[in-house]
Amino acid sequence: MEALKLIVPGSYYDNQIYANRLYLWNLDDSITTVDWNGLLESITIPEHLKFALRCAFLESNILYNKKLQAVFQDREVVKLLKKKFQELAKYSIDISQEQLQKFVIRRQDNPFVFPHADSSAYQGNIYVGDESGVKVARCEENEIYPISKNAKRLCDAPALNMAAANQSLALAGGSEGLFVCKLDQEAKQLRDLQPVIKEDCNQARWLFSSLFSSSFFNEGFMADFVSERAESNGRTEDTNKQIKLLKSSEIFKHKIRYGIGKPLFTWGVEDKICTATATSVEVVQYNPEKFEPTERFKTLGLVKHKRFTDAAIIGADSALFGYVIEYDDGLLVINSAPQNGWETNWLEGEPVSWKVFPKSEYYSNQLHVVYDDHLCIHSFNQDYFVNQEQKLVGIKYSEEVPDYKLLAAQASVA
Amino acid sequence: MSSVPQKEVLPGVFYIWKLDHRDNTYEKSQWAIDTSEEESCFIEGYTTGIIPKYNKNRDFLYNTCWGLHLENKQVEYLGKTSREMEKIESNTRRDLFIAIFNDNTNQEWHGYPSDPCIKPYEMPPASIRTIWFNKGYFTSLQIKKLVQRKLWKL
Repeated sequence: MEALKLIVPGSYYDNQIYANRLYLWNLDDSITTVDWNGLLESITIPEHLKFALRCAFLESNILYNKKLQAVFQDREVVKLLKKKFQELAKYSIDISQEQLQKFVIRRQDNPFVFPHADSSAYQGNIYVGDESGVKVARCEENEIYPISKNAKRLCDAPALNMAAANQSLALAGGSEGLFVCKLDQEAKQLRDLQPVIKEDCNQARWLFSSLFSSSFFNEGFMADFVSERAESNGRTEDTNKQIKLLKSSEIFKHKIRYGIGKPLFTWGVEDKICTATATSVEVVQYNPEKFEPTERFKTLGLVKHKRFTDAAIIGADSALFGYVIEYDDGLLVINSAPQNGWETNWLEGEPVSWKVFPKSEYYSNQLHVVYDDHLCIHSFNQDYFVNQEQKLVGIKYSEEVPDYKLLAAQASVA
Repeated sequence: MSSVPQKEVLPGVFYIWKLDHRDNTYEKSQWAIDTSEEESCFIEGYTTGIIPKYNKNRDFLYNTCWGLHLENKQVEYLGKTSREMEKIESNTRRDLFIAIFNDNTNQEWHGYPSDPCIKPYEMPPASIRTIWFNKGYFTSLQIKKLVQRKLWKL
């Protein structure tokens, strides 16, 4: 199924989407905040495609709703929905500069460091980091400034890349390793800063309450937070969380030939750990509820893609809709729905920045790619119809917050 | 410290050419430009901006600046990673395009090709990155990749 595309004109350095607002980092060290819902509702499309547009760009969670899975047993319903997405894909949704300006809430001075390495939005805060540390500012709906003018320094640990979850911020600190900033209730103040993995780290990602550290200079490491199950007053409880450090080669059970400029990268997000080579992605499923190593790390298989390249892989990430691999000359998206082999989208051209939002309630189907003169928002909608329990490509959608996740969150705040 | 005699390259500012960054010393990055180009690179960096730094281990303050090797206002490679890095990085010696300069005392400066990909303390700070971006030496794409350690080719 073809991905949908929405073009926002302008030259940007970075962007975020959070709670119905699109934040655009301009190249003149200012930030523009856009009313995302207003902008989307202003798009002129036929009435019968408005629901598809809403699911694609405003509320991805509608079609992931578990109650709808019964409706999706009806092939005619699925066929109709797919037809609507396919029809919508024929419309090139190019937002004009005039249209964009109508929905600008405010353009303000950038209260963070610029040019930064990474940004993240979590619990009403925006975090921006670089090699000198992380700054945080509130983003409030009813304030004059959409992002508070007073960004506060959260910590001095280097942050080349960040991932927020579990009331914590995981920081990729380059040669200084991977750190976890434990945050207060409002997630705007630091409670504790802990080094978790000492090896070189270029990208930090959460796998439930565990962490994965990706690097160009090592094979990748996982900090597996292992609980011990204990009986207490007739109840089984998870206690004594311990960190077990695992090399990627221990997870994949073979040697990982890493190296800068090599077509290889290893990463992990939620229930999937992946290693990408020039022609394929090898996938291991992580299940923190299992304690037997072969069940905790279950080899799922190899995803062979049609695009062969010996170009260096310089980044990769996972979303519900698939895997995104960044090469020197563009992005490769491997979709979660197989169709005569694995369907891929090649997005030609070096992006300034790109990101997916797998933990977002409303935007988990989107891939945002900033190019020199526009922001391109891709929406992938095939994954609603994929069996989440059996998927090899993309992380599994989970509506419920598992107990171990709540426990981890409570433990990290305590 | 192996070096050639210092030279006053700007009024009251002295520069030392360190030989160990030219003689293939195992753990040292190596210059790929000649000494006069190294001097120009330092002057470019010195006039762009000087950043005070604190060495925690030795408890002293010193100054740092970052330079580029420019040809027709285009950034060009100026050095290579050390032989030590070659061993770590699967027999690859990367080309480097940023130089870092430190002063010892009394405005005596020395420098070498920096590797911010590996060493975060060799990363030019945001203020220097902004100047380079505004002068058009790097695109926004290159700046973003530089700060994320993804830029190792120009």
